[in-house]
Amino acid sequence: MDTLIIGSSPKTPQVIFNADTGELLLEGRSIPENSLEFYVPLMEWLESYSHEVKVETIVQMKLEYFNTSSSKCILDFFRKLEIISKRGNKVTVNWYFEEDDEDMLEAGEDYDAIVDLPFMMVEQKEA
Amino acid sequence: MNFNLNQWFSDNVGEDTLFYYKGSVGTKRVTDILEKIEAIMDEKNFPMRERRKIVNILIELVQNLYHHGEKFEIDNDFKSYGSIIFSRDNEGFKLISANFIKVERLKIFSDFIDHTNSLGADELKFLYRRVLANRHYSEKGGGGLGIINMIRKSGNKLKYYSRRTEGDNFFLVISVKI
Repeated sequence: MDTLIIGSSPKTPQVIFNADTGELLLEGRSIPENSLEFYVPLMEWLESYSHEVKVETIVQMKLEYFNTSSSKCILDFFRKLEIISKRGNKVTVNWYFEEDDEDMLEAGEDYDAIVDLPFMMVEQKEA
Repeated sequence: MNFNLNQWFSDNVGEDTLFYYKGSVGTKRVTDILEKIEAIMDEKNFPMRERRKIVNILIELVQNLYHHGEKFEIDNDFKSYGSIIFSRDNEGFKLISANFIKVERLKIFSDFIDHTNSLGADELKFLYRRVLANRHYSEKGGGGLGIINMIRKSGNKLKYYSRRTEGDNFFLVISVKI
């Protein structure tokens, strides 16, 4: 299936979902006023992907900021991945946070507590 | 004494104010406000930790104005109305947002803030996770997630007050110390 590529904007993250490698990247800010509109194509891609998973799925969450409405959409995204995982496919979430960004770390821990997926908290040194 | 918007504004904008805005809050304006406040923080070399907290809370406040700001019934210049004031004093940073709100929403809102303000850190974490995990979804409102988020991230209670106006809507002011 086609790789989903969406460029970043001041309010939306860069998206690269590659079915061949199983790597799903979200990077940047997710703060649109209408998050559903942004996340619908991502969820549609994930639905198609869920029927033809061939390799381990590794989610790279490299978010700088996300707003309240995105937080619900991100949870739905993880819940869909949870279904994929429960079908016997290996799914890992790498949750990135800057070294002194305890809020982003805590946000990752919140998702980790809600969904049944393995989360790796990855600390990044500031450039 | 009748509520006077201009008077309220001049009472709350002072020497410590780094940025203020009053007027309609559409999607373009949300972006402008964020960009301007981030440019000010760049220029003044704000520490990254404070900067992140300010941006996080600012996003909640400004988008709350976008989704929920009612019009000022007495002055029809604005289709909707919101105000943001960003200040820095000896104690730290302060973000103030103000908007008009229908009386029925004001009661729900103030009850939820009072309850959330009374919680400790672990209770806040538990409440946040419970509300986030709740499957009911609204594009406009996250069931109070924004309020919980602001209290968690600022580490401070939210202060608020409201004023009756000559119209049906109330004027609601929220203040967050960071």
